[in-house]
Amino acid sequence: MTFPISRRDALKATTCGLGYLAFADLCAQQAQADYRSPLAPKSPHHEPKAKNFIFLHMRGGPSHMETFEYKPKLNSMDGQPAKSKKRKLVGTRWNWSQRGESGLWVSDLVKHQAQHADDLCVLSGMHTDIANHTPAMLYLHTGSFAFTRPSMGAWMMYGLGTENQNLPGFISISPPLINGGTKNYGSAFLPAVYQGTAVGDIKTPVKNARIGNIANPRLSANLQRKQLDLVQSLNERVAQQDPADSQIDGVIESYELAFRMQSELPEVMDLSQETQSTLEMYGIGDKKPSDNFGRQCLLARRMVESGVRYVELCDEFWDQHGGLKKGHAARAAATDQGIGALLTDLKQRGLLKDTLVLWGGEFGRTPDTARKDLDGRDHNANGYTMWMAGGGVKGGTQYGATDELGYAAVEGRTHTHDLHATILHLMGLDHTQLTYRYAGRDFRLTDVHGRVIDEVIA
Amino acid sequence: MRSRNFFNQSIVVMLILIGCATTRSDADQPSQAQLDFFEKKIRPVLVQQCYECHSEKSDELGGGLRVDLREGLIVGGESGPAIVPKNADESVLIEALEYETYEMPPDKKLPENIIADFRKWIQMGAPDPRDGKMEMAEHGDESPAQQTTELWSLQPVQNPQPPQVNSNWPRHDIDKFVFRKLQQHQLEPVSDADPLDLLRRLSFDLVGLPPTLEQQDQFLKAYDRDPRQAIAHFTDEMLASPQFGERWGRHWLDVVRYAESTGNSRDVLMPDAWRYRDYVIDSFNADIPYDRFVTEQIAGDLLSAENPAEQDRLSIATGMLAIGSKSLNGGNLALDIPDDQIDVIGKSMLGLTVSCARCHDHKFDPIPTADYYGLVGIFRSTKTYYGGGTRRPKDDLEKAKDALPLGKDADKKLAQLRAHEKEVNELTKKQTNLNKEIKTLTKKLPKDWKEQLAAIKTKLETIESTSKEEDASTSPREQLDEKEQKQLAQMEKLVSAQEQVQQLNAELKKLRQEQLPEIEFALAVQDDKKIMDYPIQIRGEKNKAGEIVPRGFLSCVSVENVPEITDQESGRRELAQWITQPDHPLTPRVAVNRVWQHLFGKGIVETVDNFGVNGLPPSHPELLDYLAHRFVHHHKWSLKSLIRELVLTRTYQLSSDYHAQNDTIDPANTYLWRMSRRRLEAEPFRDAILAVSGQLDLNRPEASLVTKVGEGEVGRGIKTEYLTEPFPHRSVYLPILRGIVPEFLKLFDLPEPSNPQGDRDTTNVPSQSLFLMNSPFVLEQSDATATRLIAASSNNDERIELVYRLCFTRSPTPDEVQVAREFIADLQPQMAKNDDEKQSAEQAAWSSLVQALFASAEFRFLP
Repeated sequence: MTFPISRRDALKATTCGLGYLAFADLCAQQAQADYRSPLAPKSPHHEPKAKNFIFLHMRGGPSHMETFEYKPKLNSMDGQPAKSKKRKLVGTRWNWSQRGESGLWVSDLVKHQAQHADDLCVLSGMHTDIANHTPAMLYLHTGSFAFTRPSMGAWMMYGLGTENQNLPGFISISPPLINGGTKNYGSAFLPAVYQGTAVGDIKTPVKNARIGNIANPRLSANLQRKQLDLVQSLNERVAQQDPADSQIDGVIESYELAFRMQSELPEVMDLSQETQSTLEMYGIGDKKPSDNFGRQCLLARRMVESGVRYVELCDEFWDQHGGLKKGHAARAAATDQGIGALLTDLKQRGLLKDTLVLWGGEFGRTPDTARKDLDGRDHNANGYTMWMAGGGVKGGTQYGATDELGYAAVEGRTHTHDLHATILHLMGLDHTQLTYRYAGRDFRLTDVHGRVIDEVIA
Repeated sequence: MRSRNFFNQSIVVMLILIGCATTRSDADQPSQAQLDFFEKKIRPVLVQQCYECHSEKSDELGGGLRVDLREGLIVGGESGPAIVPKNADESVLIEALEYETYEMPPDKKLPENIIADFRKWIQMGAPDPRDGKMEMAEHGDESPAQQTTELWSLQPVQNPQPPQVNSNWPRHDIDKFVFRKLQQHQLEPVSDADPLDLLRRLSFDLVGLPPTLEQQDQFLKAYDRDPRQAIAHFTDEMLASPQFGERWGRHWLDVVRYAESTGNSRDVLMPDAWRYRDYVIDSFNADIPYDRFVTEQIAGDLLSAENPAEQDRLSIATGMLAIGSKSLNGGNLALDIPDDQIDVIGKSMLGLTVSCARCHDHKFDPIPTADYYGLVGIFRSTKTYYGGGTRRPKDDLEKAKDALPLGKDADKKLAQLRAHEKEVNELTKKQTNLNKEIKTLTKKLPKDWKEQLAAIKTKLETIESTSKEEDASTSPREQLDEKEQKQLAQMEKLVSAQEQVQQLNAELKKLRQEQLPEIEFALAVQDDKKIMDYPIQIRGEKNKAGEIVPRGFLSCVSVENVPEITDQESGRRELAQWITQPDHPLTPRVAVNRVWQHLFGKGIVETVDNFGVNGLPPSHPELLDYLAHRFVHHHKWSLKSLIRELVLTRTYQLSSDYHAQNDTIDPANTYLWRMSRRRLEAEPFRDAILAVSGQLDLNRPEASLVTKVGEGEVGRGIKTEYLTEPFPHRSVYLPILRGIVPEFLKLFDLPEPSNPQGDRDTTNVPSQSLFLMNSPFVLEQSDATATRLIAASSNNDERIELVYRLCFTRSPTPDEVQVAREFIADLQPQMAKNDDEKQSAEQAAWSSLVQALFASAEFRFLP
C-alpha cells in the first residue's frame, strides 16, 4: 500500500530547518504530490465512460415536437380540438426527415444537430415533477426544488475532483440570475470548494464576460511574484512553528494555484488563438445571431480540452407560449450552429468519446394551445426530450417516447432522478454511493430515487 | 471549526486499516472513523441487499439470521455466528459473499470492492453502532425510540463535581476536568500563551477586531503588574463594548439562517429583516438571559410589555420564525413555513433534526411523525408575517397583510390609511361616473356645441333685453323653441359635469399629496385567529391527512413540568417554556457547547447542530454537564457570565505551541493540550482589514442596504448597485440576500444562509487567493493603510514596526524588518518605472507590502 507523505511528515523528518528558498523549491516541485487538495482527482467508483461533462442548457423548455420527437399524428390533427375543450392541437411548422444511418427523425429547425444524428442518444421519455421554470430548473440542477441542495456539478467535483488544478473544475458560463440563480451551480452543504465558478451571467455577452479578480491591475507578473514570495515566506514562518497544521499548507498551495490560474484561465478564455475557419464553423462573428452561443460552445471545447471537468452553457428562454414559430426559430438560430460545431470539433479532436454532452431544458412543451392563432405551446413536465452524446452513450438511438400526441412520456419513462443517476454512472460514480453526511444523515443527488438507464449505455 | 481536510481523514482511515491506530486509547471503543466506515460502506449494503430476508421486518427470517443488529451478526443464525470480529477468513458472512459455501445475496454476487470492504470492516473488529437486543427487537417494536432511549443527550444533565487533581496547574474547576482527561491520555499541557497572543485571541474572540495600539500598550503595562488582573480587566471591557454583540450576534445569526430575501425559487427581498438582526445584536449586548432570549424569539408577541417600544422589540424578536427561506413558486407555504420554523428551532436550540419526521418517523432519532405534527399544529395556529410573495405590495395597506406594522399607533395609522383610501376610492368612483356622463352627453351634442351654446346664450340675452315689459310671466328660456331648450339643458349639464370633474381632480390631487402616516414594518409572527390541532400528513404530502394529533412537544425529552397547551393560544408560549425548563436535557447543553465551540475552535460535541444518534458523543461528557448545569443554576443563563468564566480558564489561555509527543497521541487536539489555531471567519477578517486601514466605521448603519433597494426580486430589475457600494461598517451589517451574498463573505465561507449551520467550513481555494491578490477591495484598503503608515513616520523601520503591530499584534523580528526593507527598496524603483497612476511609487510600494501582510496566513489565523 502506498502511503502519501504529507509536508507535515516531511518537515518532522527533516532535522535541519528548511530555508524559504529551499521551501519554495519544494513547493513548486512537490506541492502537488504532497499536499492533497480536496479538488485533486479522486478514484471513481467504477471505470468511467466519460471524463468530462458539457451541459447545453436550453432554458425555458424547448419543444420536443419541434426538434427530436416526430409526431405525425399530432401534425395531421393540427387545429383540431384537444383534450381540453378550450385548447386546440398544434402541429409542427417544420419539415422533418430521417437522418444518418440510424434514420433518427430530426426536424429542420435543428439542422446542424441533425447532421450528428448518429451520435445522438435521444431521450424522449423524460418527465419531471413540476411545470414552473424555477422549481423545475432547480430540480434539474440539484434534484430538489423545495430545499437547497448541492448542484450536480458540485456532487461531481466532490466525487471526482478535477484534472487541471490550474483551472476551476466546474464552470457555468452565462448562468441566469433568476430561476434559482447561483443555487443551480452552488454547493449547498457540500464544502464550498465544490461550487461552480461563474463566467459572466445571462445578461452579459460572453465576449465581455470575465472571471472575478483574475488579474492585478497594477503589478506586473514579475512584481506580483515578488510580492507572493513575501507572502509565502510569512506563511512558511507560521507553518514551521506548527508542522502539524495542514491548514497553512493549504494556504500556501492555494496561492500557487491562484498564481498559475492567472495565466492559464485568461488563455483558455482567449478565442483569438482560434483560426478563422474554426470561428466560422461555430458561427462566431459580429452581429451573427449565433455569435454569443457559438462563443460559449467554443469556450466549452477549450475548457474541456484543458481539463475542466464540468462545463455548463446557458441559452436564453425557449419559452414560447405565443410566437412559437418565430421564437423557436430565433433560439435555434442562436444555438444550433454552435452545438453542431461543438460536436464536430470534439469528435475530430478525439474528445467526444471522453466527453458526455447533454442537451435540453427543465421541461418541454404541450402539444396544444389555448391561442386562436395556434402559434404557441405551454409548459409540459409530463413528457419531453433531452439528448446525450459522446461519453459512453449509444449514438443514433431514441430511448423512450411520449404518447402519439406528445402529452406525456409513455415508454422508457426517464425521471430527472434517473437522468442524474445515469450521468453520474457514465462519469464513474454510483449515485447510491456518492453520499455526504449533513445534519445527521447521508444525502445524495438522487435522494432515495434514481435508476441508471442501462438501455442507453453503449 | 470544521477543517475540510479529506487527506487527513483518509490517513486516519488508513492507519486504522493497517492496524496501527493511535488516536484511541480504548481499543474496544470504535472510533468515529470506524463508525463512518460502517455507515458509508457497510450499512447501506446490508440494508439494500440483506434486510429483505434477514431483518426484523422480514416476513420469514432466512436461516434465523438477523443482520440488522450488531448482536444478530455475532450470535448468528442456524449456521452459527455470521462474523468473527477481526477474523474475516473465519467469518461465514465472507464465505457467503464470496459464493464459497452459501451464495449471498442470491441474485448476484456483490462486486469485489464491496466484499473487500466487508473484509476490512471485520478486520477492524466489525465496529457497529446498532445496539439492541435480539429478544427486545423480536417484539416487533421497531421505533427508534426503543433503540435510543439510551441516547446520551436525552439523559438528565448531571451536576458532576470537579475531579480531584493532584496538581496546581488548574486555575478553575473547568481546568480540572480538562486536566484529568489530559492525564488519562498521557498528554501534557503546553505553556501559557504570550501576553500579546492572548490579547489578540481575546480581542478577536470577544469583539471580532484586532487590538488597537493603545490597547496593546495598556494591556502590556497592566500585564506586567498583574497578569490575571489585566486579563480579567480587558475581558470585562470587551464584554461591555457594543462590538461584543456584533461579534456574538453573528454566531447566532448563523444558526437561525438569517438572510434578507426568501431565497430558493424566487428570491424576493425582505427589506425589513434587518430589524431582527439588530434585535439579536442588542440582546447579546444587553446580556438577555438565554432562556429569555429563546422565549422572546419563539413567543415574544405573547409576553407582556411595559411600553409600546418593548412590545415592538418583542414582536421583532419573533422575526426568527419569519425570515426563513421559502419556495414562493411551486411550494406548499402552509406546511413549508411551519417546517422551516420547526427545523430552525430543532437545530439551533435543541440540536435535533426534527423536520426529518415530516414524512416518516425519524430514521435515527426518537422523533415520531406524530411529534412533528404536534409541533405543526402550534405553527399552523400562528400567523407568519413573512413579508409577502412575488407580487410587490402597492402600498402600506397591502403590505400590512404580510408584514407586521410596528409602533403604538400602528392601528390608528392603518385606520387613517384605510379612511384615506376609502375617500380616494369614492372620489375616483364619482369621477369615473361623471366622465362617463360627459362622454355620453358629448356624443349627443354637435361638435360645435360650445359655439352653439354661446349663440343660444346671446339669443337669451337678446330676448331678455327686448321682452322686459311685454311678458313677465314667461321666462326667456320658455321663449326658445323646444329643440333649443333641450339642447341648452344638455349643454348646461355637460358644463356642470366638467366643472365637477375639475373640482374632483383638484380634490384628488390634494388628497394624494396629503402627508400620510409612515408605517414601519417587521417580519414577525402572531397567534392566528384560528387555533387548531393538525393531522399527520401521510408521507408529508398535502391533502393526505391522517390522524389529528394534539399540539405538543417532543415525547423523547422528559422534563418534570410539561407546560399545558390551551385552546386559547397557539402553544408557542408553552413551547418556549418547555424548551427553557431548567431540567431540559438539550437546551443548556446545546447552548454551552456553542459558546465553547466559538472559544476553543470546536465543540465538546463536535457536531454542534446535531445531538442526535448521528451526532458525535461529547469528548468531555462530565465537563459538558458541569457547564450546562452551571449555566442554568449559577450563571442564570447569562451568556456573558459564561463567556467570561471560560476565557479566564487556564485551558483557554494556553499557547498554540506545537508539541511533538502530544501531537502523536492527540493530533486533533481533542483533549485540549493546547489552544487550536483557528481561522478567522469572513466577518472579523474583513473587519480587521478595515480596522488596520483606519477605514472602519464602528457606527451602526441605519437599516440595511437591502432596505435601500426596497421591495423586489433578485434578477428582476432591482437596483443591485446599492448592494455593492462602499460599506465601511462592520461586516455583520452587510446585506445578505440568499441569491447574492457579498463577495467577501461568500468567498470566505459564510454558511449557505438557507440552512441553519453552527459550524462553518474553512476552505482553502484559489478564488480566495485571487481575491486577496487582485480585488479592488484589498487594493483600496492596502492603499489606505499605506497612506496611514507614510503619514505616521518618515522612517521605514518605524513604518514596518507600526504595520506589524497593527496587522499581527506583535513587533517584527529583525529578520522581518530586513526583508520588508529590502522588499520596499526592490519594489519602489520599479513602481516608479511604470508609474501611470496618481499615487506615488513610494505609496504603491508600501501598499504592496501591506497587501502581502493582509494576504498572509498570520493575519487570518488566530494564535
